Formats: sequence, C-alpha cells, structure tokens
Amino acid sequence: MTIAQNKASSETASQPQPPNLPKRKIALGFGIAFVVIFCLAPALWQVLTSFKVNDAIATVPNVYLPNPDQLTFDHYINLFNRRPFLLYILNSLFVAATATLIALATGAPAAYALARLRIPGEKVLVAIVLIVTLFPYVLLFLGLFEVVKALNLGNNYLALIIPYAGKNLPLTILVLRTFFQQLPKELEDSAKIDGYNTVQMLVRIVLPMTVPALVTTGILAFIFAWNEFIFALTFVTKESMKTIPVATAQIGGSSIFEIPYGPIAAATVAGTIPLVLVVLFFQRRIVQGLTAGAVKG
Amino acid sequence: MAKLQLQNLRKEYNATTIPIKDLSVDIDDGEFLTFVGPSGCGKSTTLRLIAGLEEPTQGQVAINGKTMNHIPPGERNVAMVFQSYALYPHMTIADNIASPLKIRKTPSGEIQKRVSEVVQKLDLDQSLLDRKPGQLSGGQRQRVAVARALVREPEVFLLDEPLSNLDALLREQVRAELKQIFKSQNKPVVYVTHDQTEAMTLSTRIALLYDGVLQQLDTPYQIYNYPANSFVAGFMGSPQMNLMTLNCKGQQAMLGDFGINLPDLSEIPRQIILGIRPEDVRLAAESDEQVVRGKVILVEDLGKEQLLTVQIEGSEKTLRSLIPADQNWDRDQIALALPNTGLHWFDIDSGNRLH
Amino acid sequence: MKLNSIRQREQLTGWLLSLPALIIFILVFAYPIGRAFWLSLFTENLGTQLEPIFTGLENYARMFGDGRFWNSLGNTAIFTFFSLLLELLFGIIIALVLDQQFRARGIVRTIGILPWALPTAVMGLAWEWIFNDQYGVVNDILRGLGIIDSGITWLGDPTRAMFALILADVWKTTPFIAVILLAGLQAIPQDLYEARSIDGATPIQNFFTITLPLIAPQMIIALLFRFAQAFGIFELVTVMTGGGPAGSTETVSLYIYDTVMRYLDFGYGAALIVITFLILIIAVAIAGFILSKTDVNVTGEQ
Repeated sequence: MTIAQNKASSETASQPQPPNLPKRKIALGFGIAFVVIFCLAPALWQVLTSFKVNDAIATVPNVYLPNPDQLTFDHYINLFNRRPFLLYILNSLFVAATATLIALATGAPAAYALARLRIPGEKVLVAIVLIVTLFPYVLLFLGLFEVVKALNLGNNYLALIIPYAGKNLPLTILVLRTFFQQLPKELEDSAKIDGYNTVQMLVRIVLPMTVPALVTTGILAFIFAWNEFIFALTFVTKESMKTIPVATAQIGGSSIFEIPYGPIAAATVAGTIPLVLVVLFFQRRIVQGLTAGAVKG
Repeated sequence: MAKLQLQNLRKEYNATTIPIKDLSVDIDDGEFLTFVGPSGCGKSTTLRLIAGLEEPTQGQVAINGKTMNHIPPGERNVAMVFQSYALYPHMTIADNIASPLKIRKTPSGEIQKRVSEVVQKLDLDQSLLDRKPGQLSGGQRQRVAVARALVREPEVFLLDEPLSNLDALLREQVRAELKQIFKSQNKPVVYVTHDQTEAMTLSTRIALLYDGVLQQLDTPYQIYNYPANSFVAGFMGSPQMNLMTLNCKGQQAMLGDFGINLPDLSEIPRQIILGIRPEDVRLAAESDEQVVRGKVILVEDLGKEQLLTVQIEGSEKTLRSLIPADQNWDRDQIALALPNTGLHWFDIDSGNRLH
Repeated sequence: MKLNSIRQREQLTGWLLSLPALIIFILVFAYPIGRAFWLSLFTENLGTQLEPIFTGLENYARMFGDGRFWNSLGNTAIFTFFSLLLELLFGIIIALVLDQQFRARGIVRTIGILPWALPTAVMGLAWEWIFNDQYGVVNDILRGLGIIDSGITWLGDPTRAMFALILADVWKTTPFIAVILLAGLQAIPQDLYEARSIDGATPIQNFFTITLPLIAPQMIIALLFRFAQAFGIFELVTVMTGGGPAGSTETVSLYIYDTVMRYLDFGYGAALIVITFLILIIAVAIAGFILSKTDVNVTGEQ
C-alpha cells in the first residue's frame, strides 16, 4: 500500500525532479514496509493468538484470519480472574515508578554537580558513570543477593527499588548532565547574584527549566525498571509480590504437557500494554533520551 | 573612600590564559564607569570578578571598603543586567522582578511596594506582569531585566552589554533611558560594552582595556581628545583615526613629500607615529600652512559627510578625510590641511602619547 | 572547617549533592563488583558448608578445565557476534529509512522503537511461540512456501535454537542501534551530499564515502552498548531455551546464575563474574581507543 501511494504521489508531483527519484521512492516504500513488518509482525502475531480460541491456536495450518467463532476474550478474562494479574501490573507500576523517582531525585543533583560545580576529577567520574552504564545485571546480582540476605530484604520491594534506581542512575546522570550543560549559563549566574544558593537554584531555577529532560530520563528509567528480570526473579519469590516479566514468564511453567499458549499470549499483551502506551505518547522523548545518553555522553 | 574598589586585580585561568593582568580602579557613588575594549580584552571577566562569579587570582574587590573576595555573589548586594537578560523562563514577569527580594525573605508587603515602584519608574505595562518572558519582545525583556536589578536597591550596578541584543533603532532610545535611570540611583554603575558610542554617550568615565591591561581611564572627552596611546587613539572614534608611522627629518616628520612639524620633544626619534582624526583633516584653504597633496582613490558617501581616502604624493600611505557633503574638490588631485591642534604624536616603540 | 574560597564552597556543595547518588552507586555497583573480586579468592559452596575458605586463585585455575564454562563462553561469543552483525546491518537500514522525509514518519518511528521498549522476558515467550515445533508460525510459513514438508524442531535443535535466539534478540534490540545511528545521520550536514552530488557522485558512492565514515563513532558507541548487553544476555535465553538443548545455548550469564543460585557455588560464581567483568572492561578499552581515533578522523574530514 505504501509503495503504491508513493508511486502515485511521485507521478502527480508538479516540480521537476531528478530522474532517479521514482526509484528512490520505491526503495523508500520497501524500506518503510520492512521496518513496519519487521517491528510489528511478531507482536501482532501474539496479539492475534491471545484472542483466538484454543482450537484455533493449536492447529495446522495456522489461522491468520480467524472467523468470529474462533475469537474469544476468555484468555484475558482468565488472566485476571484466575490469577492476580492486575496485582502483578500494580506491583510493576509501583516498583518501576518508585525506582524512577529515586533515580531522578538522586541523579539530578549529581548530574548538576558534574555539569556545573567543577568538582575535581569530573572527567574521571563521568567516565566511570559511562562504563557503569554498560554493566549487565548478572555482574551485580551475586553481591546484591548477599546484601539482600544480610539485610533480610528478601520479598521486600526495597530489594528491587534500590537496585533499579541504581541501575538507572548512570543513564539518568549522563542524560541530565547533557541537558544541564545546554542551559544558558547566564541564568544561573543571574540566580547567584539574585541570592540563590546552589540548592535553591537547582530546585527553583534549574529543575523547572529542565522538566522535559526529567520526563525523558524518567521514561527511560521507567521502561528499564518495568522490564527487569534477573533481580525480580531472584529477590522476590512471593507470588503476590511478583512483577510482570517474572509472573508472565512463569505462567508457562505450570504444566509441561499442555503449554497454555492462549493465556501466555494474553499475559504478554496485557503486561506490555502499559509500555506500548508509554512509547506511543513519548516516542520523541525516548529517541531524544537514548541519543543524549549514548551519543553525547 | 570610593564605593567600589578594584585593587591590583589579576585573573589567571592557566599560564597562558590571563584575561586580566593588573587592574586597579576606584568607582564612586553616582559614577557611570564603562569598561570598553575589543572582545577578549578582559572587560566581561572584570564584571564577573566584581559580581563574585569568578574569584581573582590576586588583588581584591572591595565594596564600601570591605573586601569581597570570598563573599559569594548573593551576599555582595550587587545587581547585574545580562546581555541575554537571563530572565527565568518558567516564572512570570512579576515573579522575575520579585525573585531577588523573595529569596532574601523580604516581607511580602515590602516586595509588592518595591515591585510596583520599579514597574512605574520603568513605565512597564501592568498587563505584562502575569506573562512569561517568552511572550515579551526584546525591548520589554530588557526593561524587565533592568527592573529586576533596580528592585534590589543594590550597592553596585553591573551591566554586561545590555543593549547588544536590541535592534539599532531601539538601542538609541533605550540608551538614553538607561542614562536617566541610573543617574537617579546615585550608586556606582559599571557597564561593559564593545560599542564605543555607548561608552562615550553613557559614561562619566571610560576604562579602556586591551589584553588584560588598562590602557586609559578618563572622561569621554579626555579619551577622545587626548588618547593615552596609539591603541586608544585607534579604538575610540569612528571613522578610525589615521595612524601612520613616519620617518623624522630634522624638526619634521615626513609624510610622502611633505614635512609635518614635530612637537617639542627632548630628543628627535628616527621614527614616530602620527595620528589625526579624519574629521580634523580638511580641504586646504589659501591660508593653511601645513598642507599635503594627494590623489583621491576612494569616496564613501555618508550622506551628511563624505569620507575620502587620499594617497599622499611621494608615498604609498593613505590619509582619510571627512569633509562636509557639499564641499567639492578638483578631480583626483586634492590638497588637505593638517592643523596642529588635530595632531597626536605617539612613541614608535611604546605607542605612548608624546606631548 | 574554614572554607575560604567561593569555589571551595561550591565544590563542597557539589559533593553533598552527589552524595545520595554516590551511596547508591557504592551499594549497587561498587560493592557487588568488589565483593565478587574478594569472594572469587575463596571456596564457598556446599562442600565447605557455605563457609568461605581462602583458596587463592584456585577458582580461576578450575575455570581452565571447566568445559561447561568454555562452552558457555563460546555460545555467548557466537550469540554476541551474529547478533551484533545483523543488528548493525538492519540498524543502518532502519536508520536510513527513518531519516527520510515521508508522511506518517512519526508513526513509523514509534513502531520502530516499539520492540526495544517491550520487556525482553515477556517477548521471549512470544518468540518461543513463534518458533513452536507444532503450531509455530515460522514452520507454517516455511511449509506454505514449500521449503519444508512438515514442522521442524527449532528450539530443540542446537543450531536452530541459537538461530532463533539471535533472531529474537535482533528483533528486540535493532531499534536501539537504529535510534543511535539515526542521531548520527541527522548530524551530517546536508551540503556535504549536495557538494558531492554536484561532483557527480551516485547515492551509493555517497553512502560509502560520506555516510558510513561520518556515523562511525555512533556505530562504535551503539556496538559497545550492545556488546555489553548481548554478552550479559540472560532473560531471553532463560525464557526461550533455558540454555538447552543440552547446554547448546547456555550463555555465560546463565551459567553464572546456575552456579550461584542452583549449585550454591558462590566462590566459583564470583570468579566467573570477575572474568566477565574483565572481558567487558577490555571491550570498553578497545572501543574507547577506536573511538578516540575516529573522532580525530571525523573532525579532520570536516
């Protein structure tokens, strides 16, 4: 469809165009189609599966366009009736939101210090922060596991919130630092002369001006925290406290012989919808945050 | 004792970056002192040192006789207007103006009183007060920035190129207003600009900086008429002063085929720098004694006047002359008078004024 | 304490502002890594009744003869190499597409970053279903195209399981690379292309002489990030294959997790963590070195 559209528009275009443009447009059409299919198809297949009755799921050849009688909401109804799925979502929301707030509350002052307060060894600190961003979770879980045991924090959300906040801190600091450095310096000079001390300046002048940046980093932190698996698997074992990724992954484990594809698909969809919404609303900010953290940091 | 004293100020960022080398200036109440100079001369750094945004490497900044070196900017009771105006974009205009008072925990009745006084004084429209800076024009923002400085009733006013972001027409008008406003404050005003017209029109005294060193500190009249060295002579005045290195021969300096009488010097040097402003060079009349002739190679019509560039006979040197628009001359050849009163002589090595 | 200069007070405030972050850093990063180094010098497992006994470098010596470790390291290397290769390739394509002007670009960009934002563990389940032996859509499509007659085993076959994992990872993380590369593309001044076009260069020549060299720094940064993530891949493998069949997709992080959580062999697990950490640091050093070189090149060309 996209290709046809582009062809049509290039033919009706009134401006004189270089001769290779239609070729380019066709290539672009293929490219767009590739991106859309590549990114969307696997997810859509899961969505389709979640609405199909079991007979339409477990059949060969696959059902791509189900009849009305092959469709059902049962998987979703079961998900919320037979399991505390809403609770999992709330758990994830709580943990991710708290961790995000802590990451912002501790990361923003540190980022400001690294951006403006001329701390000795600033470059080294930034380099360390950058490297730490790269650490996979598996490097940390053993030490954290011991801390969690020692402090008796098993099945306590603090065991997730603090590590998530920590895991998000480096990126938060790098992205916010970039934003702080881009603020016009005269505003802060003016605030200093007006009599603001550093903390007042941060809270009343700098942070209000960087709300967009805070939202950007907050979204990234939220996504990472929502998606985390290893710590959630290790530190929280109580059923009622589980977060979405772990709870969903463990649905399949109940029976070896009859893997409940329908419920799994429904859980996948239900558990990712909050994130899909986040992406829909904040696409620009996510792109901005990722590039600010990775490219300019 | 002067209100604001800068004593042997030196600012060093590293061994090669020394924006200010050794600067001493005293500024009294009611004085309007302008630091002027080419970019990179250290004028903005000076202002930042006074404000406390930077600390001097050596020397001291004193206000009312009290050393300010280690006092943070907020406790110095100075107010500053920035080139970009530095209004807080997320606050209303009213909050912007009141912010220095609020942060000092001034009683709210007092804040209201002082804000409305300032608003009145600057003729700011009441309807602007609830808007955000982004909704204001450049001129309005500039005025708000001045208001925020005035409301403080500070010991010292600092202004960092506050007119440079305004368009040319507005600039002239605001310049006049600024002069009036600050005259009534009776506090030291330190102004920084690279624009010599601003410096000349606004200041009671001008401090001309170059390469971190004070070249001359004097009234606009003195600076213009008795520049202390060839740099000052070339910097102040537009069109620029003619500055020529000439060989000396007897009691005269030779400009092409023409001799110019030297002033009384204890010793005649081999070479000397002659300066004369284009407006002091006029078409020669019969009675003129000191006359040079040359060929007009360029005419720039300024409307009221015309600026001639003349190549002197017997020399590659050119002399620029500003003559009234209605004066005519003979084709290419022209005779120009160099009256003694308009001549400035500078030492060839030091560049210093010689008489 | 007497703080004379404004600068010193400013720095003190700076440290105070950084303090909360610093504490979390120490708790979440410094302590666990440091602890792993320390613990790797001890034997602490069921054999010692979970009491730490100092054994020096014995854990590291044990690694040399540990076939499972080398196997998992090999799997991780294969996984990382092919994932990164394909992700870079697709990432460039997607970035080039998203860099063009077309209607609905915002929507396509949103779709383009969607896979990256979804939870890996959850989407692993989706991919497990896609590669299902009996009813999986991959088999169905291959049957429809006449490439195979009957459903083939994917996740139960060593090579194909690895292939499935790589494909799932490529799907999940190509958007990340694409976004980073897109930023690089957008930073290239348009007049470079125009100047080259006037010289008579074709778009393909332009791509190789302008685009690729100029986005090289972004490519390296993206690859470094992806290397670290791919090298620590855990949830995708856990969910899709659990490291099977017969350890053929077990990655280092899975092995570390099992060593600690299942065999309760803390000392050895710590040593494995230390080695992984060191590999990562070496990768950072290499990337940093290359980056410092290309930076010079890039600015030199401009």
